[in-house]
Amino acid sequence: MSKKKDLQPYWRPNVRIVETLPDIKVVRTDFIINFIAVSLVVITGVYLLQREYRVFALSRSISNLEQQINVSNADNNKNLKLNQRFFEAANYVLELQSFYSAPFRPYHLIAELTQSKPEEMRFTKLSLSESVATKGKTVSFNINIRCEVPDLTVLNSFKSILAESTLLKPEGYTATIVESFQAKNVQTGFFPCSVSVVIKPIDEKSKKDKK
Amino acid sequence: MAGNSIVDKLKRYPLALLSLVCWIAIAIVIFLRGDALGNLESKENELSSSLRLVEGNAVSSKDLESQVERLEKDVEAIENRLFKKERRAINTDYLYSFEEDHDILIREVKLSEAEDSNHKKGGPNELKIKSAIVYNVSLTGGYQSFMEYIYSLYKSDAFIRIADLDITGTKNSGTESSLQAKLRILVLSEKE
Repeated sequence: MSKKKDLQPYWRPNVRIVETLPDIKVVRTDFIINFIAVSLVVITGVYLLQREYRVFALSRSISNLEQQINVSNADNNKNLKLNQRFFEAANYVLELQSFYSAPFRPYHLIAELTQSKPEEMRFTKLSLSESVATKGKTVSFNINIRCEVPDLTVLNSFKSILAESTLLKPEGYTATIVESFQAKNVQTGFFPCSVSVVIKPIDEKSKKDKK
Repeated sequence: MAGNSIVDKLKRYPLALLSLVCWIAIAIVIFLRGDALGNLESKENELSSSLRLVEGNAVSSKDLESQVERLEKDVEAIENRLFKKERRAINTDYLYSFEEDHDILIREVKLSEAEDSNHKKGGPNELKIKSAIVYNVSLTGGYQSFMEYIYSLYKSDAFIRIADLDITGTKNSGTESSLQAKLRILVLSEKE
């Protein structure tokens, strides 16, 4: 008997009903669940209210905007029609510009050439022609002068004068001047010669490539 | 037994239970009205940009009416100065009429059937509203008269420009040398 007592000295039957016992924890934790649940509802509720307020504000703003647009719609339609009329009329003027699009007028060119030529030089033929390059859709201007000079230095000085001429180098164009001459005419004592000037628009693409 | 224990537990937290029910209700409302806010925002943006456009149009259209009226008067003036293709005799006569004011002899005015490559469809200076009639003109005259003639072509009522010219000098028995010129001129006309 004494041996049995030694083996289980502190055992007692547990007859407590746990659910009915009061919460005797030093730090109570039950309220945390309630706190979390209420906080979640409050946060979600505030979010919903905020959204609803934004919806309300947006609806008011939209109706204001619609009202403003409706008020100015008649004026706007009138402005749009005016704008269309403006562009139609402007196209007429632009087309006129397009018709006259050339870097110089022929009378300016002839005047420049005849006034700048050295006195000893004689023009026998002068021609100006336009040529259209299908590639790049550009228009070049070719000037051909057939002439006679008593001395080839006169031809050279005329070429230099042409190279300096601003009329032959309009903005956006480049000019190439080539002169040629034949053997001296023994009867007249003059060299038959010709000067060719090609005025081409500067190729924007190659200009960019060079940069 | 397990169901009972959950019910028992829920009974222990009535506030949490109520909160859960409320949270679910709120979540359903948020879910159902989810698109409404986005739609309204995009609609507001759209209307705002429309209004900005309308206001911008109003600002840009200041004095537009008077400008349009002025421009339309210019267009009318341009229209009145255009050659009409079907009036071939009148057009040719007009080009001969320059002879009266200048000391030149117009030998020939010939209507060319060829289109000018600069102004034709697909050309560098394509004309879309109007078109260009091509004439070949040959004439003789002194240098001064010739210069006055080509200047008057540009200053005439009709819209004329010289596309090509070819001048050859010929020596006269008199003091002033004479020029022979061939011109390819373009006259702006109504589109057919």
